Amino acid sequence: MGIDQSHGSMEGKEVRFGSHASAYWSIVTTVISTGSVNSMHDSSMPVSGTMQLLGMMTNAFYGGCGVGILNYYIFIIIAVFISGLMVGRTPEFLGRKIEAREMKIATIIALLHPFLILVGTAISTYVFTKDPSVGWLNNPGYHGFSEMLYENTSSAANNGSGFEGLGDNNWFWNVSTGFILILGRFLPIIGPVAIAGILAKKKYIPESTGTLRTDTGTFGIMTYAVIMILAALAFFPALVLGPLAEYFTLYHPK
Amino acid sequence: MNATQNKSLFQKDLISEALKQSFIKLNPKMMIKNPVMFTVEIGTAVMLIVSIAIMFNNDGSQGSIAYNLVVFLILLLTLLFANFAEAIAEARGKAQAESLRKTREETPAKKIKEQGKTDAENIILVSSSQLRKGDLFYCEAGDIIPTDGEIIEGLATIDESAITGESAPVIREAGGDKSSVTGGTTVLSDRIIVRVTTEPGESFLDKMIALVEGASRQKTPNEIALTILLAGFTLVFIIVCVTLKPFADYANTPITIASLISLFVCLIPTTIGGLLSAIGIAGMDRALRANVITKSGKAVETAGDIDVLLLDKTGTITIGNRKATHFYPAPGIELEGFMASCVFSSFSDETPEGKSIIELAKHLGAKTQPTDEALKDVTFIKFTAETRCSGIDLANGKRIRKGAFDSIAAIARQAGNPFPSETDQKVKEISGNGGTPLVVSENEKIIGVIELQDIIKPGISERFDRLRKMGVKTVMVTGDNPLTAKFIAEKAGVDDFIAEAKPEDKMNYIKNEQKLGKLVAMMGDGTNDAPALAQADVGVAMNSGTQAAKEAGNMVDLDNDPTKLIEIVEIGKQLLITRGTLTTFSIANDVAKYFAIVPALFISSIPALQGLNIMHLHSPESAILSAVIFNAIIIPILIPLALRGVEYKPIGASALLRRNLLIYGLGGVIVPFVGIKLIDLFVGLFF
Repeated sequence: MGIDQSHGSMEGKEVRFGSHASAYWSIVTTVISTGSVNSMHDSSMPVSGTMQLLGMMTNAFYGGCGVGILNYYIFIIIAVFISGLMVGRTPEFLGRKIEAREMKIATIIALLHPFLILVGTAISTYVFTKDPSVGWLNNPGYHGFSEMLYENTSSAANNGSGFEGLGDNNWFWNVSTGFILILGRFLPIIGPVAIAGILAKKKYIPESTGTLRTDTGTFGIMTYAVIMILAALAFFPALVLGPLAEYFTLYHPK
Repeated sequence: MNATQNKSLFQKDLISEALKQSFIKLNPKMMIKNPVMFTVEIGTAVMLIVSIAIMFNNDGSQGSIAYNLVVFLILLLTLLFANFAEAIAEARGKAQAESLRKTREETPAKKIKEQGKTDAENIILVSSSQLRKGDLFYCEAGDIIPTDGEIIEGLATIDESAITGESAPVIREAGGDKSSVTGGTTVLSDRIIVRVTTEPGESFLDKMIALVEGASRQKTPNEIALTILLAGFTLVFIIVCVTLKPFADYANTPITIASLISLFVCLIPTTIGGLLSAIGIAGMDRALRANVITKSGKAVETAGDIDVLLLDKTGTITIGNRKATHFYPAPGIELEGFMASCVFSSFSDETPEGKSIIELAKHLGAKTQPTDEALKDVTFIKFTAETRCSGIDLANGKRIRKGAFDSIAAIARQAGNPFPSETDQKVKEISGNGGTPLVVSENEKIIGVIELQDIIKPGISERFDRLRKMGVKTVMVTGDNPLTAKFIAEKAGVDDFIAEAKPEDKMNYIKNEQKLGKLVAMMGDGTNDAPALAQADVGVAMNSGTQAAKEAGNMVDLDNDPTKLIEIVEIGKQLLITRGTLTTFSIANDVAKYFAIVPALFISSIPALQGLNIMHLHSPESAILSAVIFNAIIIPILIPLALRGVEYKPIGASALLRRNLLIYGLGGVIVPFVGIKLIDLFVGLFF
């Protein structure tokens, strides 16, 4: 019929940019909290959708305009703590000891993001399952789940972009995502600042050969692993029921 | 670790005691101290209820009875394994402490009714447990000292082998720094009167046993911080599992309660949660095995963080005292005659230096036994701080003096005798080599110089090297002059030294280092060490030291071995490393568990998810059971590691992190993939 499919699925994508640039920007915008879109994310293939969601779920990329650097700092505190123990020293960061109070704050902040997203999505799926006539979803099923998951993730990560396809201009979504937005933006600011304050008051410990340096590749891998396990793995079951289920049914139908 | 110690990790009687304790510890009141395992207990209770409910009314929605019962049993096993880890660590620590305490229980004591009177009427025989603080008791040759105390009268040689394992008897006497006696040790000679310093049940060993038993065991700051983090991880997974229920309802994939609880238990860090207290107890136990009594778990932990180590030169860096190594007679003096004079002058000299002079002369073939006639009518001149020399006036009028260079030089100068330039040269040479010159004069004429040298302990510089690699700075404390101190410091390889040290100097050095934010450890025995021991972050008092020193420090070394500090630092580091690596291992395990359980949860309703079942596990039930079984058995598998501690290697912090991250991080990701798959091959036969 003369149809050229070499560019992949172009449905919903901005024709001026093509699928590569659309996919590229969809990742950039979710990673650095820009929130602007150049294509409808709803129309992305499931794996692209997974990556967009993961970008916001991690929410610890510094350099963006959201709370990425602050969350990254929280994960560094946790990574410093675990790796400090692994080298046999009470953990210290920037010459200050990391103790119970800082760990408490860091743990709460690290918990907050999965808590807001998962609880928000749980409530919305519960409401929808109970009464599908609320009419939010045009495609119930895995894709509809992704839409609700994306909406909550985007709010918690203060991204601002939408997966779209979700009927979200109603009181339920406006109020629930509003709360998530406020909590997801301001608590992650209070926590790290509090930790900085506590650390600043502590005695400075000069660096010795026994001090664990935090500017090494090994420590980078450690931080990466902590982020992956804490931030990404907590969302694994949700991703499985959303985009991953969609992907496997599309490409590996049994 | 060698094989014999390996074997003793699990002794039969310890195991049966620990097994009993594992069940007793299921009491929720005890479990709640460990938030991670407490949530597992709640999960186990829920599974018990679900299993019972299914027995009466099984509509099939929760899976088969067998499946539910097996999940319940495995969760119960997980709890028991974790309790067993703690119980076996406790049992081992207790057994170690009890064996030390056994020697001191119920020995008869000769209590003195009235101070100052030791006649038969005033001494009554009581049991050691009836002695109270402040009581006086009397001990003579052959008696076992009933309890800890301080000698207030007399002097005795005491066999402390029951406590220290050291067979050479020691001398303890009233007053001074060696006045303390320990219960359980035996008096070999003489008689002493001792004042009891501790109430029964409050001795250091009693305190240590209480620490191990958990009654008074408090979590250390680092343990608290780790517990918070682990509780955080647990909370994340509570959220994950609770929200999974509405998600699954939405996707029309009903999840059984058993599967949901299994997922939860597998994800939360049960491995480290179950082993955490065992690791802490094992740390104290390892210290006890090194014959060090710690007054708190925190002290062991702090030891791992030590930046500066203050070590006394004598006994730690050098063997005992200085020894004579050479005789250098002045020009025109025969070596034989010079040696004879030196020997004469040293006969009344009871100091180790004096004895070593006689030894060296004997070794070089000098006649060391002067006849009785020669020693008739002699006058011994004792060493005093003012004259700084000692000597002898012989019957034939010969006056021999030996002492510090300047004091002997002054004697010669006063008599108008010159100081030979060759000898002067020698004196400078000896000082420059870190030795101490002892100048000898006869009838106010310089006849030569004796070289005294410190003997540096073999292998000590390697130990300092190891400490340097750990990032610990070593400081030598000595009464020597700065020149000698510097030479010995360089030769032994310590980083810094305090020469001509007074007790205040130690204190000031510690304070200055602490101002810079460093943690300082020191060892001491005397009462004048007590303030410094209290000021130091880790103060190790020698058991032979005074009561004041023992009260001030936070550890007591039963062996009185000054190099023990080095071991203590390593024990502390090992404790933290074991915690860190097992935490990493525990969390890294989650990756494989996710891939085992999550596909299994949904596969029956979303068959396409088979693509996520990368381990090709047999069935959803077998996948979930394999993950839970792996999660349970990894705890007992790691108990030996938790008790023994992960080995510490002084290779620098970054290299150590890389090594441990590879072994316990990457290993923690890979091992469960293999383990779960292997278990599934077996479980798949039934489910």
